[in-house]
Amino acid sequence: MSGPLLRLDTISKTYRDVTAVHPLDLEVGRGDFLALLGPSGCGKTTLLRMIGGFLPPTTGRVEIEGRDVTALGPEKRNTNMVFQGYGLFPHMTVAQNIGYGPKIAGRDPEQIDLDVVRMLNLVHLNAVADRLPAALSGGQQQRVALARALVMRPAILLLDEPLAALDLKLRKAMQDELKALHKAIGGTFIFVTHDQGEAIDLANRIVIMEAGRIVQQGTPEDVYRRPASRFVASFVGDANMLPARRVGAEVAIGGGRLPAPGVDGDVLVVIRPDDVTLDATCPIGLDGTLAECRFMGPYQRLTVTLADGTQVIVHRPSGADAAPLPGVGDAVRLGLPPAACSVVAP
Amino acid sequence: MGLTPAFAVFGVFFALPMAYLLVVTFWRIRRYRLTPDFTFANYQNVYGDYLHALVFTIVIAFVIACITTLLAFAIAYLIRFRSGLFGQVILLSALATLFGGYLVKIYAWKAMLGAQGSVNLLLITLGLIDQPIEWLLYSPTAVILTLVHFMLPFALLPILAGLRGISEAPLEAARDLGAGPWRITKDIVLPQCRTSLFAAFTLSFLIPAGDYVTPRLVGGTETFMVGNFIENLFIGRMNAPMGAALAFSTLLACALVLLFVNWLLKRVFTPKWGH
Repeated sequence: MSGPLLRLDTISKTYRDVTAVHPLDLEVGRGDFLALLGPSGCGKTTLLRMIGGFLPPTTGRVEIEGRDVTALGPEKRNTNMVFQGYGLFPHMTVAQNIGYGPKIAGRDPEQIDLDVVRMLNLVHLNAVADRLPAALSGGQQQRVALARALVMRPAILLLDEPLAALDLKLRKAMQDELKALHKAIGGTFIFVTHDQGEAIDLANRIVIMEAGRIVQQGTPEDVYRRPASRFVASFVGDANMLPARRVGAEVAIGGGRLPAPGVDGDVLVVIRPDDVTLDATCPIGLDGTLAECRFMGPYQRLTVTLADGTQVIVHRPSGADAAPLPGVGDAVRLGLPPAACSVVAP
Repeated sequence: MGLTPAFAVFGVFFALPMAYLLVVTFWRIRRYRLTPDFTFANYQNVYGDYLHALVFTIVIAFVIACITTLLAFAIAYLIRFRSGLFGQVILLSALATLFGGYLVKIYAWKAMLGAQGSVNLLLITLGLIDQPIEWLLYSPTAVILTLVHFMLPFALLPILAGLRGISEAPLEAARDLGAGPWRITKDIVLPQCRTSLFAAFTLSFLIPAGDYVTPRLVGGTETFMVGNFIENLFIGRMNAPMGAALAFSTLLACALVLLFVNWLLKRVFTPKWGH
């Protein structure tokens, strides 16, 4: 089938006088693993709930597989949701939780058993099939919620902060598992998160939201390397932001020039700490003094104070072959590779 | 340790008197005096003379408890899921009836259900009936109506607490998996408030089963519940052993009914399918 799997057309949500989501368009292709990323209150969960049919949009249309489903509730949509906190049925066993959807759908009991066993295998829960959710660990509950949604073979799987309730170690393990699951079943996943690391690791496309609007979308690399705004630059990863001026579609900085189409005025040059070098031959160079040097394990974190007082953070690998460092208080020259610099509005 | 005072109160004011009463059931009255003995004659007499009253009472209390629990669930469901802020108004108006005393309510129903009462007047004015319905007052129906009304707020509170304890996510998940409102209520809501349903049922069963004022005032000359007979045995006939035997028989019968209801609820609301 041609066309996007999911199409949102000028969709918005307003509560009385508060606008949670401003009118926006979004298309999601088959097989995408899409992250809706933003700080809390940015409208990402509202958007997800409108896709799932739990909230009627104030304006706009939701199309799934080319069909207008705006007026349909979640029970009539070919989407399934993994809820924040999972929403497992506490009085049903793991197997019954997973089998509930197929049972409602009126699938044949023998088929249901087969489906449930297939799902238990997929999420490695065979051993606990007859336990109640309360007897499971957080990671196991998470996998039950996944299996319960996936057994419905949804066109789109929606995940609302799926890993937020897990501790760090388990979260990493579940990230790998989610990724493997997405690969194994070849489905389309949309997940909401406020954790940029999670979004970068899992998604093949990231949609960044701020105050009810989409501010940037693209591959994880796009949004990390080419942030479109100051907000994106600071929200996704660490960023150095150097004030500069744009004159005639160019920004002059550190003896070099960056092409930057746009009106003249103040701008910020954004560069990631790991892109800044101590290479003196770089076309853009900034002079400063090394103020601090910290060992962070895999990398060293240098703080360099420029002449105007701006602090620049530099990450360099701390491997054995790393070049010897200047001492604290020494003058250093920072190199900014032009390709790694982005220019955003201040 | 912290519970010691509670246990002491429970022991002195409940367990000990009950134990004494249990002992008395095996005693007998000799020359108008309570005499220690070990006889089952009291129980035999109870089953001979009062079995019908016991069964009648259990049936009526059971009907009252069923109606009350169903109504209370319906109201609690409305408050919790359907009415938003209006739910608070419903709750307040239900609880406001607690301000009216027990006897006030009985007399209110007496006034409403009588041949000249407002219910009959309304039905006649609407042209639905020609003659007043006689069996509205002084009948088991009147006892059931009055006690259901009296018990409703007491049953409402535990069920509402149970419903408030159910989180939103499983309900949304069930909807997401394709379940309609009825399936969600049956499969997800009811099983999760099983214990509060049982608490409501227990209250609205035990209190009517032991009541002897309502049947006397609105039950008429035919409707005697076991409480009336127990009162009569203790006070009218000064036969404490037989009164105690009848009381303990009632207690046992009530316990059996409640055990059965608990078993039934557990069976109905524990999903059995799959694996």
